[in-house]
Amino acid sequence: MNTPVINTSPHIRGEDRVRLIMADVLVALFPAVVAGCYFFGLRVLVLCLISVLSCMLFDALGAFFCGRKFGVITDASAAVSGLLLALCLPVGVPLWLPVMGAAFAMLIVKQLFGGLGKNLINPALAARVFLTVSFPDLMAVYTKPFSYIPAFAWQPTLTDAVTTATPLTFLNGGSFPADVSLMQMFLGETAGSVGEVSALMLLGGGLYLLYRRIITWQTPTAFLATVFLLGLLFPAGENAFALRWASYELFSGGVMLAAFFMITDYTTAPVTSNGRLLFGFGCGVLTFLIRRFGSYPEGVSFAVLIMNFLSWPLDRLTWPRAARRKAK
Amino acid sequence: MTGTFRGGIHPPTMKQATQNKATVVLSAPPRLYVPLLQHIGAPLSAAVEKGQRVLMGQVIGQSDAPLSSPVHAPVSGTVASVELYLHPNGSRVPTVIIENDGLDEVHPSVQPCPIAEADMTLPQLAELMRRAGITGLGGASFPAHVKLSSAEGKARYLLINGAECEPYITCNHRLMLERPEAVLGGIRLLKQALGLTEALVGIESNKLNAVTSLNRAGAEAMGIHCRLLKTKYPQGGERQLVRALTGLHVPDRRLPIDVGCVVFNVETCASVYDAYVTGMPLIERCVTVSGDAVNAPGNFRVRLGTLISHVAEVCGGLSDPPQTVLMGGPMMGTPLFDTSVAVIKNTSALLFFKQAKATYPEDGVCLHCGKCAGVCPSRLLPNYLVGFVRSRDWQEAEKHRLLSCMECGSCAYTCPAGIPLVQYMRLGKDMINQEKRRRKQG
Repeated sequence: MNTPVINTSPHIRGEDRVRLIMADVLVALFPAVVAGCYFFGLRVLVLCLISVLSCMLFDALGAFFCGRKFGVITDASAAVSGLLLALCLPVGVPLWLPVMGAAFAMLIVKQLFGGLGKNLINPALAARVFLTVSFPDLMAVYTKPFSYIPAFAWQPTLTDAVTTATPLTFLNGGSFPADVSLMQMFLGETAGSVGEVSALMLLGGGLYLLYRRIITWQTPTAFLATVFLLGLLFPAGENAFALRWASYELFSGGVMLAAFFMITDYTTAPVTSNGRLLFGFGCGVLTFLIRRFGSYPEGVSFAVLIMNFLSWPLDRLTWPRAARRKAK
Repeated sequence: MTGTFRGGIHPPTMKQATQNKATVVLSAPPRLYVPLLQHIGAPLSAAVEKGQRVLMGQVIGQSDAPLSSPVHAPVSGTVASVELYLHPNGSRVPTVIIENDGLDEVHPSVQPCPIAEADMTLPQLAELMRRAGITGLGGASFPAHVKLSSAEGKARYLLINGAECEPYITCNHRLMLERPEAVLGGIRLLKQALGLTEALVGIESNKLNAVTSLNRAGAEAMGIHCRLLKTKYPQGGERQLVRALTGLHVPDRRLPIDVGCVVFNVETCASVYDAYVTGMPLIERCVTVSGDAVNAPGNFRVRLGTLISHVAEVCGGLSDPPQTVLMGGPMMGTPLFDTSVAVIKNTSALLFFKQAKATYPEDGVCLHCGKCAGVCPSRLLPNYLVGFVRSRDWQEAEKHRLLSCMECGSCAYTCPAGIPLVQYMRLGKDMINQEKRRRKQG
């Protein structure tokens, strides 16, 4: 007999690995990146690369200072956070902005709270909110699709000719966006954050993740259904347009990105099925309330961050109980 | 429609290597090492002495404790010694070592049961099973007569476990194909003793020919219904089988009999039948020998007490020195560090692997992906339980039903971070039980 290996049971393991899961998420985000490049030019790719690399760097730095094990590419989770952060930004932001966001996301939100698997809130969304609050003038300027700005411009000057209001600004004001059809919204030919505009591509990526069983159906379904139904029941425009209103709500802003990539983040969401349903529902309600009554046109990030804090209470609330005697 | 339960995993079944190999009777080795601990319950004391001649089927170890099961001489020969010897569980236990004289001379106590099948009462059958040393052959090796006695007057369902959900193992499958009459005969006896008119046999959907085989042997006419179950691990777990076959939930810390179910493995049934017809106690069992280090994988009838090294040698030898040797399936089996241990009553398989199949990295970090919670058949949340165990919060762990873990390994199998979850669960269960004992004393 060779030197025997005495392992604990089970003596076989499935195929799932953390790194492969993260790689799959990156694959699922790829269509959204492509759509972003198509509508806003190659600057999108530059933003993504800067964000991903700085997230990986700051993650490793943070781990080092906190005395945790790290490799520059310990796992791809920092890369996922970085890509998600980049996809939340408008294309015209200066190139140093994602670096600053990455530092906040990795050092403060992730590593200070214990690193991988321990953070309370979603690092990418937290960084987005941090940037939105700290640099409102930079984060609120959106350019028109196809008005490409130089890919490597450090701090591009944006003329009024290229900037425009996002559909969310209109919706927040209680009217339908001018000149943007529902189909354009769905395909992504509208102003917005680089990775959030194309509902189609995000949906594709989300379905891929569902097919690969990386995410479960509960959270996205509950979230999307809640946003849609609340839009249907309480449209701000004419009631006759309720269906149209609800569809605009669904395809605008960060709803699609959040549904498949943000609220499905493992660490910051509940693990029970019912907890996930409630989590998605809560995100939907808060999104609706903030969009309708808040002063920010977009409510998704705040809604998700608030719900992140509730994921442990939701798990406790929905803890599976022992099976009880029950006839068929 | 195939019955199933909630949760579970789909590991590769790996049964192709042996499922079409007919069971081969392995001749008894010149020397047998019969441990006096082959069941769950009270330890046995030796009934024979060094130098004494024993006959096949003679009792060599017994106990007066109600929860125990005697062991018998698997061959005729001379007792070489009664000494502490290595047991598959890793400890040294009293073992009767027998020099085989090769005659297989049967002990006079081995006689067919004189009671007619239709007159068999439950106490009579339980006594027959006790004397034959029959234990649950599915894996736990719980004395079968105790289970039968505890079911008296309470059983509404007789469920037979032919699921065989562990990867690699095919010995139950082969038994149903090759000796359906023995399986059905045993079920009939149990059914009659329990006063039931029907019995359900649960068989995973990857063993359709086993259903055909049992039906061709007249199962339906005997009131024995074969039910297909979804091929999913741990379909053969008692609670899961009860759920899949009857739709009943077995509550935490209760037994299947508390919801009126009594479950026996197919091979247990066959050995009941053998003990009834020939009087021969449990001295051999079917063992699947498989794994990538085995030259000729197959199914074998092996006398209890045969050393594993001998089994490996006789059935074609090993192509490579194995790094992992398992007794039982890969999900719940015991790893062995020495092949000079004996086949015992619950040895359903011997697996030899060139290389360890699963590694658990030391720095696995839980992401709370919830995959473990999704597959747990006991509906636990292993990710949080690990947290309680790590922070030594035994009260919280117990409150959240850690003791309901049956260590099936589905969580650890599926964990993308490679956290040895089962190990944490075992530690937690041990500590909770220790705490309880301490409280009782203090």
